[in-house]
Amino acid sequence: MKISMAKKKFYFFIFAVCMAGYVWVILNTFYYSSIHIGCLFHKITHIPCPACGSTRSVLSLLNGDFSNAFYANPFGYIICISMIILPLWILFDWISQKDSFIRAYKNIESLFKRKYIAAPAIVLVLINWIWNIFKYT
Amino acid sequence: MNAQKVDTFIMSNCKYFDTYQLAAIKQQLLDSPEEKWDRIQFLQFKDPTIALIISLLGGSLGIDRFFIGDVGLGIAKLLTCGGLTIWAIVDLFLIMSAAKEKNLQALQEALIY
Repeated sequence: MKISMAKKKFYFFIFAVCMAGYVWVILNTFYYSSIHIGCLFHKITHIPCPACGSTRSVLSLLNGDFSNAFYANPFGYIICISMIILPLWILFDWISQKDSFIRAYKNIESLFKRKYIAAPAIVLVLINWIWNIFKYT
Repeated sequence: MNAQKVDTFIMSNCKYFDTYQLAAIKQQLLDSPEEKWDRIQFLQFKDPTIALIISLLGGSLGIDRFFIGDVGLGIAKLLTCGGLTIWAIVDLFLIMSAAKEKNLQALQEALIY
């Protein structure tokens, strides 16, 4: 199946984001204390954002520390799994010239647009954010 | 479609689309049958300026992407805190044309189906 220009851009973008994520994780493993981009949100509002601690979470997961990873930020699990699955899925699509990833992506998007999925998801994000505020203030 | 209706549509909705697309949109509307007008006139478009303001205020949380309907990218932005803020800054420049693209898609869908 021919893949159009917009789809190629999308695949490239997601792949590039995953690679950037890998670079970030690698940089943080070797130069842990010297990198501190800092969250813009935190700098302006002085409260941690919902993703605060996710880098530490991913690093803990790579060391096999599951409970600390969850404590730092549960999102780390989602990020870790995505960063493993997405590049492999994109490579699979590229090799077999299919577009299974973009179709699955669109299905999940329309799934999340439904109220009974979006509302609990938003509540979970808010709970995680409030927990972050307690942890990191 | 009636040229006067097309002109009214273009005049009241030109800010929702990219300038270079307006000529093609006008031609497409002129070529479309009259029955489509009912669907077109009730379409709601996302204001690119509002998208920009939302991006300025909450870009790190990804709510600008949620606003224009990009749920997947919005989730990715939220999980990575605006892509380590880099994506949040890049999106300040991209969000207006992304909103206009979404509006164009919505218009095309209404015209085709």
